[in-house]
Amino acid sequence: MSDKNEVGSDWPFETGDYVLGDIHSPVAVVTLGSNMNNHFDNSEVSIAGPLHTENLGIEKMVTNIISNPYIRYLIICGSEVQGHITGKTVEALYENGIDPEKKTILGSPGAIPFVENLPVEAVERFKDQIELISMIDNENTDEIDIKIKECIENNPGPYNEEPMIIELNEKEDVEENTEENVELIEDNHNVDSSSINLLEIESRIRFMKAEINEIASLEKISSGYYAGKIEGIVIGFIITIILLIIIL
Amino acid sequence: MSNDDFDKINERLDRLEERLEESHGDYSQRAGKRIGRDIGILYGIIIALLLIIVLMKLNII
Repeated sequence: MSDKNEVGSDWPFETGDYVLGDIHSPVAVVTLGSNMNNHFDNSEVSIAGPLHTENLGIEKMVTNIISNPYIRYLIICGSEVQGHITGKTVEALYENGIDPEKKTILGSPGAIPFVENLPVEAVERFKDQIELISMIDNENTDEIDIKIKECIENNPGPYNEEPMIIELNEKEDVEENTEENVELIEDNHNVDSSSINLLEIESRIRFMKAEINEIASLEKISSGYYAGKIEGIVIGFIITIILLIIIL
Repeated sequence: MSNDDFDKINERLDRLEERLEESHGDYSQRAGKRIGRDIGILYGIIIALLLIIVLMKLNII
């Protein structure tokens, strides 16, 4: 194995809610809205964790993957995140890439699919380095484990280029913090997180509204059923009596 | 898109949403009523037959 592919002990460079296994494993797992960290902790995958946002989350995921050339498969599983649609957004990133100027993920159904901190080269490297395996909305750990084993058996070996290390602007901002701009940066972060939180709340309200409508619909069916049954009994009774009178 | 345009579209969407909810409710009620009536007719026939049998047993008919 050439040294140029070697992954340092400080990998992964971006922080997040993930667990690590064998960092030389060819498989990374994204569990979207499902938290399966307990299942993948110290397993045969390289890195595994949920992915809640279609912008900062994807930036961090791509950064961590392209900085480890051993990762050759990315399995997307777990339940899709309502509103953000991160699973489909990763698929769109893999299939279509990004708009080089606007930095939007082309064809993404997510609400705010901007990866402004990722250069186009990083996205191209991501598309080249990994093979995407979509198991969206699948939380069956047995099926996921089978797929992981298949990937390990078919491991093509590490990607034939050095680890690509991207420093996200978010990190630079924090490093360059001075007392004067701390407040400004905090404000910016609040805006970002609050808009994402608002989307999350909105999608949950929408889900609850749909549930309420379903209950109302069932109630309408039930009341209609009761009224129809009374009407039917009267109709059936009268028709039978009339028929019997005619026959007898 | 200006704020006025956005408000107008929102109003139209609200009206559409109301109409959709009403239609959905009516449709559900009609579907329930249709099923209930079919089952009720069977109940009515059985009740009438039982009544006739009882009346015949009691020699009223």
